[in-house]
Amino acid sequence: MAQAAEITQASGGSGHVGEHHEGGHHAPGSGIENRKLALWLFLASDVMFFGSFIAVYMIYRGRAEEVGVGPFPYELIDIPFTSVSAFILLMSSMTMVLSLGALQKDDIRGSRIWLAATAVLGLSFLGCQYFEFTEFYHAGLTMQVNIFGSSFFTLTGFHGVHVAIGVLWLLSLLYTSLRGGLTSKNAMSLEIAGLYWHFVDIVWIVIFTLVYLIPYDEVTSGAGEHASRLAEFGQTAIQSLF
Amino acid sequence: MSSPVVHDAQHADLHGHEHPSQMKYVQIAVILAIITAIEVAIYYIDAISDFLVPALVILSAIKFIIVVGYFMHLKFDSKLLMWMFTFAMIIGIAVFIGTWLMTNHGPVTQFTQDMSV
Repeated sequence: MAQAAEITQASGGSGHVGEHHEGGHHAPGSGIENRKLALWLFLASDVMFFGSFIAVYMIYRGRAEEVGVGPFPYELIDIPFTSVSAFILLMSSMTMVLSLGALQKDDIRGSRIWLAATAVLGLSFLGCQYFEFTEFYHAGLTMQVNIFGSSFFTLTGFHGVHVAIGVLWLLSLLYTSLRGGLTSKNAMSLEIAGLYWHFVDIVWIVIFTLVYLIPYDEVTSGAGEHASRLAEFGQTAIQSLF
Repeated sequence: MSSPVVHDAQHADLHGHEHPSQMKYVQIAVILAIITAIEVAIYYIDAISDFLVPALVILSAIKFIIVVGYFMHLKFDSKLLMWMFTFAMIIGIAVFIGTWLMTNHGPVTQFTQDMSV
């Protein structure tokens, strides 16, 4: 009985186990806190946002060679270097989830350390991206030079902006924590920031594979032919519908 | 100081499912790092070049699902969130296919702006 009372107390008296909110509001009937639901809705919209950018990149992937104006991706992309930055971002997801776990166990100091580590790893990733962009620029790649430059900088640049916003969010939470404003009672604030951070990580998982790892000669050879055949099929299907 | 009972309760979700422990999260991160290492390694192996693209797509999909399921807690959270995210993914993929089909896949020509005019 006493155990049940303690669980209820831990759940903020809502009858749901594991909610750590102070004055948090739930969406009617869902049992999900409003802020969390809102963040997931934002992430859902961001999936479509990045989906469009990735679609455009994939359509024009490896086709800058057709025009003949370089530099081309296979001349610039450095897999070992990008693997390190991908690893950094992946590990930042681990430190983020460890920070949340520590906070939920009232380990404030541990939470701060892991949160600071996440911000440092995020900044390291941004540093890697800055270095890569600078290298590409010095090699002659700009937004205007060819379709590879336009689609590459737009896609990876917007991802970088998302990481930068995430780092600022993490640093503001660290500041709040250092002032004593982040405890297990309002761990939801950290959980929401964590969701955003993990989302940034999964977008990079996709970008790392599609933009960097899949060899460009693989896609270039026969890509136009496959694309034409697929587009022809699609147009026939649309014409048969109307 | 919180009691152990409270700590246990804090590791469970809305539906009473247990969240992974800190050690479990580290193990998951190690698995993700190993998958990334495999992705990079197979990039350099010529013998499997015919299967490289599907292998990379499958490996990155596994990483994606692990991060979303465990780190983002979608495996343990409300089904509503999972459906919401899945729906957005379906729309995202539909946008990709739609854009692909509607694009003119003919030869690409460079757009040049003549500044002297």
